[in-house]
Amino acid sequence: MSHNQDQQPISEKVLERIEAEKAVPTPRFYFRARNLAMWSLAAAALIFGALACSTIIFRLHNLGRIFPPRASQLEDFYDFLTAAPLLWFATFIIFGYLAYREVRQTKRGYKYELSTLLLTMVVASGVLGAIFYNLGSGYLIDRLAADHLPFQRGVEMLQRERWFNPEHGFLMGEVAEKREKDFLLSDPRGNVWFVTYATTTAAGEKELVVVARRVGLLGRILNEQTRTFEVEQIRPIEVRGQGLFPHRMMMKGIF
Amino acid sequence: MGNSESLHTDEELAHLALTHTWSFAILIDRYETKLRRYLDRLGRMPVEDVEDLLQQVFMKAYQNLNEFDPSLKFSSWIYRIAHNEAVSFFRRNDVRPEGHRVELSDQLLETMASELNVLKSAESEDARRLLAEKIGQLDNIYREVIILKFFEDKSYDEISNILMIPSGTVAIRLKRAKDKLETLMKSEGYIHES
Repeated sequence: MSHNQDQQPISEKVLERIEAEKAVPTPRFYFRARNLAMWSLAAAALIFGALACSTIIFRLHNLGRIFPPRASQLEDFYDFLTAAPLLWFATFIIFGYLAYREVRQTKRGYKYELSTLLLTMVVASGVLGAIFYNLGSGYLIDRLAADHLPFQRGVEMLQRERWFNPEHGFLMGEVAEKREKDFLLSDPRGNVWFVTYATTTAAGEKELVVVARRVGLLGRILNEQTRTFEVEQIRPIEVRGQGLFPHRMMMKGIF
Repeated sequence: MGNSESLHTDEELAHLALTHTWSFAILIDRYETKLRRYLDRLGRMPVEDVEDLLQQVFMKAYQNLNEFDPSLKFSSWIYRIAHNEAVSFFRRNDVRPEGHRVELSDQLLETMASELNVLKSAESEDARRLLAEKIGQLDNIYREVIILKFFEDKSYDEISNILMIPSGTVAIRLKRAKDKLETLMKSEGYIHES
């Protein structure tokens, strides 16, 4: 660089460089499109997070209906771990982070305090998740994940594993017919059981026996050949949160 | 070509620069000295590198003029570009800006001494040397807020726009930076004013 060039004002140098490189300002629509893309990605991540949230709600809301009563608190805790929506918590956190990152990269995203952003995202995901849950997305995702993901068992699968064990006194199924002193129950394999009430069965529990309703029974087999079962306790185990997806359509694989 | 005495505001010049490069030249003239000094304060760099970096800052600013949000101050926007370019430079060249001593004027020393609530119990020159050394010892995230607040005289909102962090984070970093400096100064015998 010559001495003369060293003395040249930087404004001249920059203008010369602009001319030499034929540099022009990047069009405004590029920045607008980029900003829009960031917000869209953030919104998409928020929606995916809300879907994960709806599955968390679905699992938690049905937790009490998956397992029959157990003998000890330790067993209850083991059941809780088995059914806890850990995968969906992880999914929720991952998408929450992605949404946070995208919002931060928008034009004014850096202005938001971390606490404000986190609170907004948790509330938005919770509200959207509750709406999605009521529409049945939690149920649908739980079923789809159980069908397609390895090591992932859905609420209904777990329910069947534990409640459908007549030899150990657990029976589940849909009430096929209700009579005055007994009822018929269709089990997950399509077999019909003749169910009689024990003397200890509470009257209130008997009211749970409604045709087409799914119930869980605690009792004992009286006759395996004729599939006769004596019920002592009756539990409501209808899966909650099916929304727009009636279980008969979705239950083909199980019932 | 215009000059830095133009009656237009920076924001007006930035708008004009989209169609008239002379107005961009005015902006360069207005910011050259400020940004050169700012880059120099951010870390140790050879003069030629500062010159190249400065050119790069103005080129980036020109190419991204349409990204400039007129609701912000132009100065915040161009300081942001300078800051980002400097950070990239340090990363590219594997330079740690910490340890770099900044120059302190008497006036700045007085402002900082009052802000830090430390008594000047030694000669001004001694205090200046020590404070400059201690600022250099701060982590980069604290150094940069100290530089912007005290050396570049930027408000919290401007610092937030330059560093692209929330204003609350600026306040927290500044408070921590001052606490650290105060502790460091006290450990050297500069006692608390009661």
